Amino acid sequence: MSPKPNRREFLGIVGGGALGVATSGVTLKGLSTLNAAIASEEVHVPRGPEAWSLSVCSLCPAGCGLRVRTIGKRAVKIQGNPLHPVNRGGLCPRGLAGLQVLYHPDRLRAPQQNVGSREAPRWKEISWEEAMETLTRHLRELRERNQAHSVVWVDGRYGHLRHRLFRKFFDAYGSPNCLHTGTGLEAARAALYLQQGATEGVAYELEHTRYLLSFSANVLEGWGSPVSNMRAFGSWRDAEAGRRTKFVQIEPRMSLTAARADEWVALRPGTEAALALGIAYVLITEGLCDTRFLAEHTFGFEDWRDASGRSHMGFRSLVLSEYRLNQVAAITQVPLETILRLAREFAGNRPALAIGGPQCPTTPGDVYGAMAVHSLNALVGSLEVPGGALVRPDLPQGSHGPHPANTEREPGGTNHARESVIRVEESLLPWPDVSRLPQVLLSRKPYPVQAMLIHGADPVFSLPNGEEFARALEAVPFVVSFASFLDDTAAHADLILPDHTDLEKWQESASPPTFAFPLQSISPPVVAPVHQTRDAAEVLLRVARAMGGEMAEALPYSTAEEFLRSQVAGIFAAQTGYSFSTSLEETWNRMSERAGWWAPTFSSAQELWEEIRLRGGWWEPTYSYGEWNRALRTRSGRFEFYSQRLAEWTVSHPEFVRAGGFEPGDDRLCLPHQLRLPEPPEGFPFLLLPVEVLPLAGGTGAEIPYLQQIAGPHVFEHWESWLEMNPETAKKLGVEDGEWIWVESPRGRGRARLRLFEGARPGVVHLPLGYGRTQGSRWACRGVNPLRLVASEPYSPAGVARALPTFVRVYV
Amino acid sequence: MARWGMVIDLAKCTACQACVVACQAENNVPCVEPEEAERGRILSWLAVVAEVQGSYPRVSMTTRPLPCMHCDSPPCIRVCPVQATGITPEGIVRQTFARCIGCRYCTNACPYTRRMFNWYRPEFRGELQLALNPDVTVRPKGVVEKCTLCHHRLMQAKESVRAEGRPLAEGDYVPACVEICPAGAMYFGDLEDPESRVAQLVRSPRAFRYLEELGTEPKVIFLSQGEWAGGKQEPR
Repeated sequence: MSPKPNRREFLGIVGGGALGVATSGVTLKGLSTLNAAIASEEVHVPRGPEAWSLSVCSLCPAGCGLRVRTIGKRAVKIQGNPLHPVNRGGLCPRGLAGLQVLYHPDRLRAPQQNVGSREAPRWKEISWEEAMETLTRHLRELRERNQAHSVVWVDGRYGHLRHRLFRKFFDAYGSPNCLHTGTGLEAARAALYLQQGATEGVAYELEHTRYLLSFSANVLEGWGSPVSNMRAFGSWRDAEAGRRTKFVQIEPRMSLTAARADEWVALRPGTEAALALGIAYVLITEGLCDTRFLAEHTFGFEDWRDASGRSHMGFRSLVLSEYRLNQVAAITQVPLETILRLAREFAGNRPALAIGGPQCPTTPGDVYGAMAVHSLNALVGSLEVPGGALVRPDLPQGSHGPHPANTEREPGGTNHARESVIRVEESLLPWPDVSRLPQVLLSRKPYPVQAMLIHGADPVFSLPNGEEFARALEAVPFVVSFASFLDDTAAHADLILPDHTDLEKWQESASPPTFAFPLQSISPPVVAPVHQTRDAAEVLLRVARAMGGEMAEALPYSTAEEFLRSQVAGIFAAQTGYSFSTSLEETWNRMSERAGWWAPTFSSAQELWEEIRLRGGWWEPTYSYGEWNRALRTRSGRFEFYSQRLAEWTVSHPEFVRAGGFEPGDDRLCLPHQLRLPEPPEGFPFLLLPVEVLPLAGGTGAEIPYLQQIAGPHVFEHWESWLEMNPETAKKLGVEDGEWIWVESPRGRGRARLRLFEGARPGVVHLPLGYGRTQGSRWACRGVNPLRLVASEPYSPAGVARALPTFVRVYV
Repeated sequence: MARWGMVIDLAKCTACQACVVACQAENNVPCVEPEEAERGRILSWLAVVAEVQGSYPRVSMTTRPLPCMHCDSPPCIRVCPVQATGITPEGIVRQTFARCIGCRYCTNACPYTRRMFNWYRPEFRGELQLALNPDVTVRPKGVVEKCTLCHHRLMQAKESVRAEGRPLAEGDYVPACVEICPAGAMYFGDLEDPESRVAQLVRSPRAFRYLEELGTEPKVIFLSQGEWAGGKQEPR
């Protein structure tokens, strides 16, 4: 796209003789000397008709609907799509900043080939023909050498139908290794799997809940689906509703979420499980539980005997013996009266919900903690009720097949010569964990990986074991990145095939994490590509065509649009749901559906496609509560306080049992319990807790100036990492606000600006996530990446690498 | 004649700062370089201002979106030596950039600190300038700028209702910050019209004006946080 000539060029074009008639320049200069500045500014004013088009944001998994204003060929403003059920016209600051991604000056402008070495890369711009030729040649050769299975696809993008396309591609190609990085809600998802046997992930109907107990879940700072949480928060406090939902935030630090909650309960870091079990103690001893639900739908509440006649400890016995109020108050450092009051309020305001822990792709919290929190929902019967905890339903079966995130255990296709490189059979949970890749790559077991394709993920930056990931990439002969910006992972690639950004391609997304309704948004590109980039989906479609044979047969689509259309035909075939509509229509549709009527506004796949184009997508607004055979799929068919899946797994994994400090056969291993708290090692007195801030949620967005400017309003900080510390602690150390200070852990050190914050717990320091990139845009490479300081488990039962409690020392 | 005003419900505000970015994108407010940001030279017509009180664990923090208050009796216009700023008949405190001489009297006079001085020529690096909103001029170096209540949107709304041959109705004219608020915490409308949403909200017992004691008569009205009333009915 060629920019319009600016004023200076225009004057140059018309020539000196014409200067006198270029009146605008002359009059402006005549007004005041300051206006000389206007005359010399080089701002391009767009020309052309105004238009509004729909799109989808993909800066977090929520996939909010966008409405984009264009003037001529340029996008000039992003707003929310008022019909989109997730955001209903609202947006968070990240979504609004999308234009600074589209028009970022440091985007990759064309395919890049590394003509240097992996250690010292030198990038050469190449043509798409050459890039496609290189990619196709490598993939074809590997397939001809019977090495197709050794190609690994790592995806960090959200969305749904695109995953389906990628999966189809690798199924046809012959690789079982279509991996996805986590969303950060793995602990809650794991709890749902262990206690309810469902793999889809948990959904919460926040809008209709009357009492919310959040255990370190950063509800207003990126957890789940941020904008729909904010909408729910607004509705809780709508004066016209006449009733206010109480929101209690339980968290060691006073986060922005805690500050905005009705009550903030400060607890000792890492003791969320104990507090939840303390609340359970009050519910049990005061008879506040939903006894009918416990009797009909739960397993392992009371002590029980197995088939062999051995007796096992139940949830009640565990709580009554080990989580007495004074014990819990001592562990959590939460006053006894507070625990008592929270429990009574929780039981007395139904539907009440308990959620947690934090959502953070890097520090997803512990599974036992999430189980303890989710047990509270079972105790008061908040499962499968309006305003309670639900199981996310899949998109209609028979149309797309289940959500790819739920199918990792299934073989996926018939032509895989080999098993997946990450064996999910060995892990507790049925999804593969990308953070195990370094181990797999370096050990070359079960087989060496010959090529890795990385799309929308930056594991070197965002995994706690990122450095190891970088080292392991050296062992892969061919690494391709689809990054739009040179990022920490792309810097280790041989070839970069820059992807379009959101507004340049066919966008789609499915329902976000914690959202209870199946949904599919689809929108066409808003603007022509700014640079020589290509949609990764179309790149793979071209490769499939070039490879011919069964590959071309499996993917007979020439564009992403064609593929999406074929999938919409599948949605139509399922004969359910509606296109996006207003809240009023939504209520009407729900009412008629509950009465047994389905009256869609479309009567053919073509009509549905057109409606989706017009409104942004399709969804199913009615949730079927109490479908117990869907919601409770454990061996017992009940909610398991005592997880039989854990029981079965611990038998074959004695190392896990020992690591937890238990004897084999200890029943507590299968029940929610509080993990032991670590002691600070000699010389490292402070606990480091990385925190997530909304502008940089998910650890992304540091390249966007709009977001950098608003990163830390509570400490008046921007553009830089800051270290939050309690003023009392600082006084003892003799350090002052605004000083540059070193933070050192046994693993590494970094320098950040000290910010004194009364909301920080004495003895604990915090660093924001998302800073400290080493590659990429001019604005992103600032500050400290706390993940380079924290210790991590290579892989945890939660199914993702988990940052462990890390102790640091600080000095000037 | 309308009298435009805004109501911000602090109970609903999540302090997400979507309004801040919406304002910045709508009004072509440049992002200053990090070094300048450190010197306090960030331009933000609307900022979310946090205030921390107490000490751990009895800490509280209030967060408040702070746009120009569009005072009926604005201290800033009284000190302007060149009449570059004034109040329109509809109550919008305006700034005529071309007339401003950059003396910054007004930035000092504003008790809400909502006036910003352009220390530099605005920079929109590389392609970033393609995202500029054509409805709003970019301010040159050396002048003071401030919230205009998205005045250009008022002009557009007036034009389109004129074309439709009807008077301006509620919702025709809404500033960018109010339009985007994900929690629905911001309201905008005509304070003179007793039927308008804002006029009704202003009558709420929770309504207050910020630094009202200075006699500025702000037209941005806040609704206080309120409290959870034990799950029982709350007074409206």
